[in-house]
Amino acid sequence: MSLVITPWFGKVRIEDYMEAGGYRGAKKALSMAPEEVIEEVKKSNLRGRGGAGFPTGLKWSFVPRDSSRPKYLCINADEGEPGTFKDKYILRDAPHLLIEGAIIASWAVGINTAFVYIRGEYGKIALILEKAIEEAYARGFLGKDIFGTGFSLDLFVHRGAGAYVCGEETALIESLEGKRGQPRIRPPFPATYGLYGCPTVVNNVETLANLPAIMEKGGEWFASLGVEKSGGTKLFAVSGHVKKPGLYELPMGASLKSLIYDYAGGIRENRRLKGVIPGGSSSPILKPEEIEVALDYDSMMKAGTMLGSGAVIVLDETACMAKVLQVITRFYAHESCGQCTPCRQGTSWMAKIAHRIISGRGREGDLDLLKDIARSMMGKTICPLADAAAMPVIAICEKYREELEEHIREKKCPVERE
Amino acid sequence: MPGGKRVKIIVDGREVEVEQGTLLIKAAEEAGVYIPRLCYHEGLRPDGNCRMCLVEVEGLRKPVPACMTPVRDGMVVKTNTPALKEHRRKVLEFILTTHPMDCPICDQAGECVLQDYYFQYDLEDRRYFEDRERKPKKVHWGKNLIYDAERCILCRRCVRFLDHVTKTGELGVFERGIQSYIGLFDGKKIENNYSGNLVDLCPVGAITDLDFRFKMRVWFLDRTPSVCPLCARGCNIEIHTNTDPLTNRFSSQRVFRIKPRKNMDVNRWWICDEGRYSYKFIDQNRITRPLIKGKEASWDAVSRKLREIIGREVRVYLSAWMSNEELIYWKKLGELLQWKLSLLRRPDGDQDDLLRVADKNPNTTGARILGLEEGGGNEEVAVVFHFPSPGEHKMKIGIFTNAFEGMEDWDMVLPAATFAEKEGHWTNFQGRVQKFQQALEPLGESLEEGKIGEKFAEAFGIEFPWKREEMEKEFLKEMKKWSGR
Repeated sequence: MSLVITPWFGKVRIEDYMEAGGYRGAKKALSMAPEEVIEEVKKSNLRGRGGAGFPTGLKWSFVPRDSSRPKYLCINADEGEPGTFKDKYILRDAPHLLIEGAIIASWAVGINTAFVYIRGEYGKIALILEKAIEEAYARGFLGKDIFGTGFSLDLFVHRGAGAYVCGEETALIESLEGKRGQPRIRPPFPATYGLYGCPTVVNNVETLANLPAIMEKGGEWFASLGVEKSGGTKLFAVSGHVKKPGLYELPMGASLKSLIYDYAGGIRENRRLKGVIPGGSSSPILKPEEIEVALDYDSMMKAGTMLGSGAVIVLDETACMAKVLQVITRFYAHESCGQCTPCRQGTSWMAKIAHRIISGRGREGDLDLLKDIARSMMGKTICPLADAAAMPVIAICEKYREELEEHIREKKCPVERE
Repeated sequence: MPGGKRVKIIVDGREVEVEQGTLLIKAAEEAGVYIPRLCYHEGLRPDGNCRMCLVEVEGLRKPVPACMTPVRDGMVVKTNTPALKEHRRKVLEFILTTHPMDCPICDQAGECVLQDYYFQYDLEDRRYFEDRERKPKKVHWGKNLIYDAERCILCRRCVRFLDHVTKTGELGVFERGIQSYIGLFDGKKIENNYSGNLVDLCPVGAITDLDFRFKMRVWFLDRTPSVCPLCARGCNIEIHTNTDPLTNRFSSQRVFRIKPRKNMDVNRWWICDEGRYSYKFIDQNRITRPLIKGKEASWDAVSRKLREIIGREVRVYLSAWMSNEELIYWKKLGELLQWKLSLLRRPDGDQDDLLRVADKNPNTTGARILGLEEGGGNEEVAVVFHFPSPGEHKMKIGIFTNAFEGMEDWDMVLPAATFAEKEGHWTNFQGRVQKFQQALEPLGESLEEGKIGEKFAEAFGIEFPWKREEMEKEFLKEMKKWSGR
């Protein structure tokens, strides 16, 4: 099986990275015309790995070629979706993969300044990345006249201050500008009006980390690793009640069931599976009978959930769904920026109801109320955080209705635990 | 974008032609469709945060905020579908979950957008049974502003006003999500000259006015259109009064507040704090009876006393606070009686690039149109309007609204009505003639300056009655000559 990213893990020092063939993709890209690079990425069917799955080449092509104003690349390393830890591995174990990807993307779009927006909690990892950037500068891979092509690129690391919403691209831009981290109304989109009002590309860490391989081995090769509309492989961060939680790289379209049972070793202590949150906390939960699904953007959508960031959270029979509901709703209530009425008020209201249920003060009709609140938030706000908060609530309330109703009725947890 | 391209759109089946780029929320108004809104205010940059104004646009997957969506030619918009009505109810419900229902003691009651919208669009029972959020209350923001974060719906009008209109930036949003509140940045107080506008902008009772707080229920107030006299801009205002003893427990306060009245050519939506809070002279420290040598006297006594000046040299110091009508009346009276005329003005003060102009008089332009200039002489008798500062004269007759130090030394002090107690016009610094209406009866025995002029005419035995409308016409004739000069 061909892997794109994980084989580079451990090659942190630039010597090691280069010995393994690092920076060849960037060199090749810079020998090509920018348009050819974009064409190659389009051919690769690379889709944004942050969660939305937007085709990367297409996103780049929205940025005006000729701009009187500077263009910027913002690298989204604000990995905040609960369950997600894939970018952390790249940043920590193969930082040059990201730097190389940033060079390729910047060359393709005509960018001379890039920022890595890294979540504040990744403090030590930011130091590793900064060291790698220093190494790249020292070798002339960043700075002026990269590879003697006349192309220059500066790469800066910016630490976030602990807001999930800053992983949303326009909130990230606002935060980077030194403002309060809250999403902007679109249009205009960052491609035309982004950082400091200039054309801006925002790409996820994992997305960029795929670029060196695409450049070196070609877009068609990359596309062939995956399925029809999603090229390449995907990093899956498996957590929860499995025997071997961790990071797994699988081709797009691999089976979720196989990821859990063949790779992550199945459910711990051979308990029964209760549910899988397949793409980060905002993705609708799947019941055990629903996990024979292919892990790619379109198949997951068809299954009524999403691939998201590839954070697979596995719950076994000891999991209390009221508790799951409480943890998830509390997270979104805490992370809503508070700008839009439905999200600010709705996330908090849902969290309070979930808290009440878990405390044995649930009321009849709470599940319908929760679903109604969730539906009233969806599609009504500036950014997708409200949807992210609403979707899992609706799914949990519908799929685990009996258990939750029992919890409300009996005023205690019906799940047996040793 | 004046003179821009016109485009046609259809709002709820009504076709309307508007300028390209007009925001949908305004365009709909032109089509006669009101889209409910909380955070939108036409004088501020739209922010799209309250989500109340979402509308459906044909061809778009999701509803869009009408306050942030510029019209395009051929746009077909629906503002009142069942889904949108439901959405609006939900937005109101969301807000009311944490809004304290303290309407009975809230100053905003009666002019609260939340009350009105709940009545109009929601009227549903409560489904929220959780604890309310505890947030800062009674926060002093400086000057007359009191902030209650629990009542606040976080529309951020106040923040945007200070960011983009006054550009002083004292406020920001602090914390996140349901914990969000509006707060002062470290070391800041709101001390700019336009702070009172925040009270008007706040759609709920989150920002209240220390000057007005708990003094009067707004539905007991009478509202009279007027013009602010405190500088030459002549901002359009409303005077809010209550003289009904049944509902006004303050025996001597008649004016309770001044509010701006929108006029896009003069003051747009705003007024400055000086204009807003200087109304107290209307009720306080007034001269309510004529004084002769410091002793209260009747108007009859005044009439008798006035005969003493027949045949003597008189200089009349008119004031730039008098209306166009009063000025021309007194000018004509002065010409009939061969008096010398000059003008008194409040000295120039500070100005800014928003509203305040340096000339602190409402009618300098009107006086100039009539050829009145500052200056003086040493005539025996002086008749002085409003400003107790003429030169050397043997006999001084003052016509004043408010008491001042040393007025006992004047030969006569005659009580004049304030601008709130009479009707007339001022000509502002732009040459715009603006009408102020009578909100109150003149206090005590005070009289408008035209009527006082009549007393002079009677004493001198000439027929020259005070007819305001006639004087208004006379003034406009003069103005025509002046503008054609």
